[in-house]
Amino acid sequence: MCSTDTATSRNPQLFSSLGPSCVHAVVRPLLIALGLLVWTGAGCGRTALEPIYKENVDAAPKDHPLDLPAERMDAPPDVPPDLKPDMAIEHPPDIRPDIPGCVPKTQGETCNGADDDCDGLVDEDQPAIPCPQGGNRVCVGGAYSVCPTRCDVCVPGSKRTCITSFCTFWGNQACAGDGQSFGPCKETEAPAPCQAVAQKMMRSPALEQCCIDNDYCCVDEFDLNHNGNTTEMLGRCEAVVCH
Amino acid sequence: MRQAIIAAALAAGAFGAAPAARAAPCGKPDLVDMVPPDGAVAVPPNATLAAHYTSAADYLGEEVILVRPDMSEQVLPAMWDATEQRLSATPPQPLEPGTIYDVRWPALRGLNAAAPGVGDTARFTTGTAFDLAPPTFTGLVGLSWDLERVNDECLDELVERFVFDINLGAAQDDGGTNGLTLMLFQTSGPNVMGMPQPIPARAWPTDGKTAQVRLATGDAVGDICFAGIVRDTTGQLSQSGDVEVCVHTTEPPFFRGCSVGGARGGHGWALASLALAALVHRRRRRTRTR
Repeated sequence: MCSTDTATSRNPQLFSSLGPSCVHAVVRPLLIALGLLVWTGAGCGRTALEPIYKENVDAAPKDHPLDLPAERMDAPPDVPPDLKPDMAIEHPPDIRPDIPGCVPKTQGETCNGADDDCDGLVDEDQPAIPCPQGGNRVCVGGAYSVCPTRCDVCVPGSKRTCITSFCTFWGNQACAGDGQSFGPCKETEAPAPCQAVAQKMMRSPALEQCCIDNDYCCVDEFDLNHNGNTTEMLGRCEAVVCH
Repeated sequence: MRQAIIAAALAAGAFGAAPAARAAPCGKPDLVDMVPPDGAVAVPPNATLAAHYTSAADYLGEEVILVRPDMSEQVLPAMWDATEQRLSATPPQPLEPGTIYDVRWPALRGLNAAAPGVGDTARFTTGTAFDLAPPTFTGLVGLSWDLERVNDECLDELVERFVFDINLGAAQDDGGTNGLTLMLFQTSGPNVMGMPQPIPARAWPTDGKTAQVRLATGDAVGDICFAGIVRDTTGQLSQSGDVEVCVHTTEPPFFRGCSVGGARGGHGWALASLALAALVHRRRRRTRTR
């Protein structure tokens, strides 16, 4: 009988001792497994070694043009034992051969969230792209950002005109204090130039046109510019939209 | 004035360091932060000085004044970047090393407010080292989220905002972290469409550890990711844009404090499914034994 439960209340043991038969039965598979592990691990051991040409790698400038054929991009399969550290290496110095499976791309590093040149860095040295209105587009998260704007949806404190479906047919929407949303459309009296239109035409494209013609910033609910967008703003909206 | 600036920082909307949920002043064109901040030391002599304002501010040529130790004043040539709401000024000659300066940032007018906002003054001490190398930043390291409902002064109504607390990695620069600007980007979300959306840039947080981003519900439900870079006083950027932090958010309304189907994880659903399966199994056994 092979039992490992040899600890008692008087003689507690952290690890139970095993009899010879138990060593034979239990430990042998473990030893075999351990041996296999060491054997397989030894096969991968080279990756942990310092590359003998590492100084060259570190001293080399990054992002060299890749002018060698593809079959010479990787490290040599086996380094000769007599290779001196100062010997010339036949692959680009900016390629680290210790990145397994990395195949450098000919166009070099681009903004795509990948290590194109196999130097261990992702999207490095991607230039910022100036925007026409100011600011820059920069490479983040594998893509170039959109151009920055002063706010997200609308300028805080601004208001736009909305057209309601009853009573006065005219209203205002205020922009939230953080510029991230408009509030609800709150009914107000239509201004004098548009009151007659509101009474006669009610909720209509004519009322929206009156809103625009009188220099208000108006929601384009009737798509007066025929671009299919009924959520944009038309009219005098310089103080409302986020340029 | 300081209180007004703190309030403006909250109003700056999308991005701040203060965790408290407070009402935002409606459309006031106040100054939000300064780079370098008040009390900064070892500011590089070649630093560009800058200040951020709320998104309602408009620049009409107001003066940025540098006060030297002998109390002489110099109007600095200023540049206004409306997209970042950033007023910046680079002294024509490098600053004297080891000297205390004041820089007076003006109160600006607002696009929709008659009264001017609030400016401020930063007193800083220059160092000897010039800012030459780009900054290093390990990127964003953590992200959590919550939903808040605050009364909006402009709307006089409750608005819902998702609040993201972002943990920052270590940042370094030869000009010191006082001169850094944190630039965050939403890299994933319902309206990102493959093009990261910039969050308004702000001065590097004083604690150097956390930043807070507020997003409207329409921008913040689902798989939300952020990335960040830092910019030093000479405009050089860090190489940290590839580091993203992500979180999955749930559209309100949702239960809080209920472990099954919680807002942050999918384990609750697995537990619920197991419990349901057990119940069904038990019911079937009872049915068979009858």
